[in-house]
Amino acid sequence: MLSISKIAIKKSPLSLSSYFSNTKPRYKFRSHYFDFQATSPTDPRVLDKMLPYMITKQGNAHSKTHMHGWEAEGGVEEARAHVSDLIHADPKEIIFTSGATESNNIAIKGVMNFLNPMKKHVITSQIEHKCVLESCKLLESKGFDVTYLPVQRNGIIDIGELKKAIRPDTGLVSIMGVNNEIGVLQPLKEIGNLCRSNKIKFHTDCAQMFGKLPIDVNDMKIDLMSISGHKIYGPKGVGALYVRRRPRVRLLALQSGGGQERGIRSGTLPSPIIVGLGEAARIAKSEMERDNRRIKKLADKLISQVMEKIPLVQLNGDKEKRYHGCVNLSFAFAEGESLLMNLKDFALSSGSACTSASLEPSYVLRALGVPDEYAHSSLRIGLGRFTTEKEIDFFVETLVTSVERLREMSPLYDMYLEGVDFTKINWSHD
Amino acid sequence: MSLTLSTQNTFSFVQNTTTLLKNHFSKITTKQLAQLKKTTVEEASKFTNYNFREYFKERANDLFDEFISKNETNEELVKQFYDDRLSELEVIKRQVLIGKLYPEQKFVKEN
Repeated sequence: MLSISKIAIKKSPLSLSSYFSNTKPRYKFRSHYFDFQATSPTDPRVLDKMLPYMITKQGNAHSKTHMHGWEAEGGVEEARAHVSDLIHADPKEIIFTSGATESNNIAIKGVMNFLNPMKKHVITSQIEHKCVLESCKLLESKGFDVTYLPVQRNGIIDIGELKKAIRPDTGLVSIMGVNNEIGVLQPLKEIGNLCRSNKIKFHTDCAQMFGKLPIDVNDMKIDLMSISGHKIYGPKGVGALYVRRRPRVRLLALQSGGGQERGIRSGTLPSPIIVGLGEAARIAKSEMERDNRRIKKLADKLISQVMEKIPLVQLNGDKEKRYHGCVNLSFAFAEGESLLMNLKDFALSSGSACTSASLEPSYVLRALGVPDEYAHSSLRIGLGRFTTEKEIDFFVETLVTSVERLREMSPLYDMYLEGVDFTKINWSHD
Repeated sequence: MSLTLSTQNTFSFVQNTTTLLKNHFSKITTKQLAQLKKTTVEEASKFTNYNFREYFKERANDLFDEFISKNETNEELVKQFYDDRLSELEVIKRQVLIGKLYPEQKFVKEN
């Protein structure tokens, strides 16, 4: 019986064993991780803090009658204090969610559903994360108006354009802090001041900024902020939403239930991963300066060495107003996907993780005005706390070799070297 | 009644810690700090994951060098620093063990 079933499994093309097989890795060696914008490895200190909550302190944080509940609640409240401390907020203003996507959904849909029908207009930007853009699209289908602000060539919002877009019925402005594809930093303080003077709620998706660059919600006049756990070396599946209490931000909850988290997000709190987020926030606060110094040094080395060794390389996004750990480079005459295949020893991305399944060029690069051929040949290199200088050296060496090899094979590059003007070519087939 | 119970693991995993026990009475000397630095770097070198290994080694060196060069005279601050590093050493020891329980592939250059 056993031998017959084994044969049946081997011969069947859709056999479960081959579908779920993860015993043999496709490539023998582990790749060096350069995709910190997609996610980050969980810091061992964070894992150490989480484990007791998965082993012994397994109570429901909402159980008020016994020690197990009190222990879990203690951990959650400590985490809330760490998260709020990092952004100079009050712990009561932090709502734990399942991640930045859920936080963005609650913020945008919740606020506009509450303000409906007095306020019907939302302003956002063209380079927001997909979850913000999709939430805005949904609001449009429900009768709201959405303005998608264009960005300048360096990826930064023009405050003048934002001023012009504000209407008497604008209820919410949603602009992200640091972009996940190009790493540019938006002028949150100016936007916050503008929104406060016009009595408009200001939401910012700070998933890529929280714990990496200093944020002060009072100084920047932020009303709502999305936080992601797995971008700051915390566990995946947890995030938070900052909801200002003075002046009060009211919103309608998306998820109905037992009224947990001030009624904004009902559901049992996942105490182990919340404790992980809190610990990640605590570590981020104490290590921010040192990490940023290291990452800036590594990024400067990477960019300067690549630009020195290969011609026709472009850094997408502003050079100064950025988070240095996100480096988006475009290589002329070297296609992005082929470049990734040549860089098997490195975990990279040629577009954000949520849009990498499609073959379209990144909408963020398109919004910057980057031509399609440069957009298709872009690489997003993410640097983080655990990146070492030796990895950067190895990466630069391999990247230079790969780009040179691809350009050697490219007939367009040969034409460029001969001095052919591509704008004057008639590409039609005879 | 305090709702926040101690989250520190009271059962310390550190063996042979007669010289490294939390020192609540006498002054912490530079020699003790140097000993703790050496032990931390040794333990951090045992991480199987290359990135964690390099990060924790470099961090231990940087933190201790910076603190020792400051020549801090305030005993409270020295004790606080010592106790914090001791707790971190315990975390490193536990996590090194966990890393060994779940081995992973090596990098191409590590072979």
